[in-house]
Amino acid sequence: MSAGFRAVQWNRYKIGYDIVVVALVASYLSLFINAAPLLWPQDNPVNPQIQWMRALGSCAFLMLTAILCIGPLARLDTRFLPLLYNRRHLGVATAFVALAHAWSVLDWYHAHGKIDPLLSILVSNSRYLSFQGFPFEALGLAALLLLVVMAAISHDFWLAFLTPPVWKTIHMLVYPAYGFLVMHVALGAMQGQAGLTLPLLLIFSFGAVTGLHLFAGWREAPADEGQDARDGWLDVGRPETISDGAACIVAPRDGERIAVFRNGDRLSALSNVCAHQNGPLGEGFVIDGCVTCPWHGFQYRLEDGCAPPPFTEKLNTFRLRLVRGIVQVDPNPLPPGTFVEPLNVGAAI
Amino acid sequence: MKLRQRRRHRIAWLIVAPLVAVLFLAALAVKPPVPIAPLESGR
Repeated sequence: MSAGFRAVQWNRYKIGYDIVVVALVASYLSLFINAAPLLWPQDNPVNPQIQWMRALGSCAFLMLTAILCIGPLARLDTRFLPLLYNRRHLGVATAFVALAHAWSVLDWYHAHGKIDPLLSILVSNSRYLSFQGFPFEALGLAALLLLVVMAAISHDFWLAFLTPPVWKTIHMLVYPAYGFLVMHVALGAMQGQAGLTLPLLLIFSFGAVTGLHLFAGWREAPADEGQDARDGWLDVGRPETISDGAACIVAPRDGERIAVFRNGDRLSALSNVCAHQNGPLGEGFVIDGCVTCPWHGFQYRLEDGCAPPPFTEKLNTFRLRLVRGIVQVDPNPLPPGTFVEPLNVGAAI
Repeated sequence: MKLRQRRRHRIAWLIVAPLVAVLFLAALAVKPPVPIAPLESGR
């Protein structure tokens, strides 16, 4: 968080997450190396380096597919949130596996010529105007560059330095990277291999990523329509309809969402957008008297939207009132960190 | 995410997903039943 620089803020959960990731990658690579000759005998024997190349490339592709599925899955079902919490480490691991794949390709196909291997990968096949013969290596290289850039700036230092909107925009490049990768495999390995294994793998992976994103977006779209304010206030609902320790989310028309939290008999309204990575605060819970973001655990006090010391993040706060048993919120945000006395609804519950 | 980000996200999906799907189907259509240039040849 904002208290000072540490390379990785390790905790037991992150260590466990990383151990599982390393174990899964090692198991996949081992399985691929040993099982592929048995599963596709017509495609073998190939030398060990090519086998490793395929194992690393397919591993990176599956890891990126998994990463892209985590976001919509967490929006559809909160049980997937633990996977989202440390997704950045999975992203960095994917970049390393993809780099290992690229290194093995360069070493096998391009390292022994007269020209530089990196240049060789771009010019050895120059049929850029052809579709079937398109130099798929360039697509893989483009995806790799994007993955490496995202991994390099994944640390919270860069998040603070670039600001969350810029950082998030750069990380949206993961979608073009995935598109490049799908076409890298479709125009490369898929064209050179008999059978339906690779086409089916691509259809299933790309279909899962696209389907999950579209479904999660479709489910969430009505909430973005928002409601019109009446007398300058938005209806939230009856206080007892907000679960203790949780929030009800409302939005003005074409405005940002507001999270109205209940902590016992007291209600407070904060911006629904976490100051860290724009996570959906209203889907989090009140823990130790603070609102806790479901994505990475950033916390804020209910009454003023400030992160507890020594942290310095602040959120917009909002005024609340109770009119004829209905909680209403003023959709005009107060400056970040503004103290607002929580609304006591003890008598109304 | 912020509203603007969510909208950008949806627009990005509406552009990237069909584009990749069409290109992938085209690649599938031109895929030879028997590989003509195996990767091992260094194509």
